[in-house]
Amino acid sequence: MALKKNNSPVQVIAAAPPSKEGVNRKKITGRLLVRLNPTVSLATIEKKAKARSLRLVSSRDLPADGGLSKALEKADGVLFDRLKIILVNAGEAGKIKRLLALRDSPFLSSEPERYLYKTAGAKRPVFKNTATATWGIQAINVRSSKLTGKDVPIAVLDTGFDFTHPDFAGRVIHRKSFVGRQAKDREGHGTFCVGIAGGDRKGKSGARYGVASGARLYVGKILDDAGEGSDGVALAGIEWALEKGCQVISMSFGAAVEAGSAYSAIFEDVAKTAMANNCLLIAATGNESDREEGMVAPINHPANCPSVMAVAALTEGLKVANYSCAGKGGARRGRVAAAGGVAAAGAGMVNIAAPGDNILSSHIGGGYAVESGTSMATPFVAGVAALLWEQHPGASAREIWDKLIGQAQSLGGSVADVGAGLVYMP
Amino acid sequence: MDFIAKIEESQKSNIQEIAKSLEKMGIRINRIMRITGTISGSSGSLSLAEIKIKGIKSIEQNRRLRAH
Repeated sequence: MALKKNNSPVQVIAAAPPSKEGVNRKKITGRLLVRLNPTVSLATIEKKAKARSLRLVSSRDLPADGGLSKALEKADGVLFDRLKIILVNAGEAGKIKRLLALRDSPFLSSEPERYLYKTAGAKRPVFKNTATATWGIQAINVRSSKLTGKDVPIAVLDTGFDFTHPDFAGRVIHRKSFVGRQAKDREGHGTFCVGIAGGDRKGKSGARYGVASGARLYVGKILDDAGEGSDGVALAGIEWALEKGCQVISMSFGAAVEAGSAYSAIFEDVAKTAMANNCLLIAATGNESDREEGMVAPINHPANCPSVMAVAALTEGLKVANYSCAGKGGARRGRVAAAGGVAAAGAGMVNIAAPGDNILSSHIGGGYAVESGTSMATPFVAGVAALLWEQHPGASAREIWDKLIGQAQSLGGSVADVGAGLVYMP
Repeated sequence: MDFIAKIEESQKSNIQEIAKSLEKMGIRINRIMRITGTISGSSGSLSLAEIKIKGIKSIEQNRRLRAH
């Protein structure tokens, strides 16, 4: 017979917490939780308890209406036979101590029962740009780290770069254009994204806006001067980045997809190949949502591929941005058909989120601009990936992926909107 | 129709030959990418199903992409 839900220790413990708020509230109830050897029969346990005058009642015999407290008034403890745990009244510690001391005792260990409290809705700060760092740099906590992504090769596939930007003077920036003769940026989008991923600060002492200023930068111009490109050209950029040994590829571009449509089998295979070559593909989820109007658009191609890290955009208050596209939540699943890239299911999900609203970064003409979009969020994650690779030089791409996800700061919102949460350096 | 194609993993070393076979069918090849095992090109009047020859794992229409 299954334990009734309202007989679980957690439910009962939470039933009558003390009312004091904050750090002064009580932590320990006075009762004990005793762990039992799961291979020993309940009959043996009850027999040994009885021999030490410990009166137990089974949780199965409790009434459904919060009977645990009443049971503990009549007995010394309640035996949760499926959990192999006994909850024992305060005052019975001596008996438990003796039971624990028995030779081959089925009573394995004890610990104080704690009060549990609902997690308070933590007030999140609203970040602002300061004289020392943009709000995005503050939010992801990279200033507390000495890591710069030193010598980690990052490719930014975009509209190119302003190679004369004074903030990048002296930096060797590798380049290749797939949409014309020069990788020079005439649109501004690429210069902006490169600045976030691999820039440093405004001038020599201004606000820091870049994440991984020690990274080796590879600028692949795969979008033309109108900010447009194609799958074939993007694949050429990925191929080039892999040839050059890049470990991170930042992709602030994509194509909108219909709700329910599937990811590209080809880009998924390419992302897996990249991972096998020690390289992470990181892509923007897209800006087609209008959440204020109740419309949430699906994640763009190629960010919707399971092996591409999909990045959502956050506001200064660490809320999902109005325009940021979202997944369905839960694990990414999907079957890809053999041809045509059409799958029965699997429109992808958001893996992680990063600052995307009102972001300041480098711009064409040697200056700066403030922009918003999932494009802006993506290079923050690429930059942090480079920091992690500097910190863990022998790590595989999958391990870096797991570290990015594992150390993300939970935002308490929908996983479908922000994935694991804010990209973060602990 | 512009397309991208992915070669079977076991056929990656034959990507050049597969591209040549496509060219013999009148298909224009734009790029052959060995590491990723992909080919981009234009199929002309042929459908994607018609150009999915032996050695090609999957083939898709070449989508337009935009900066976000």
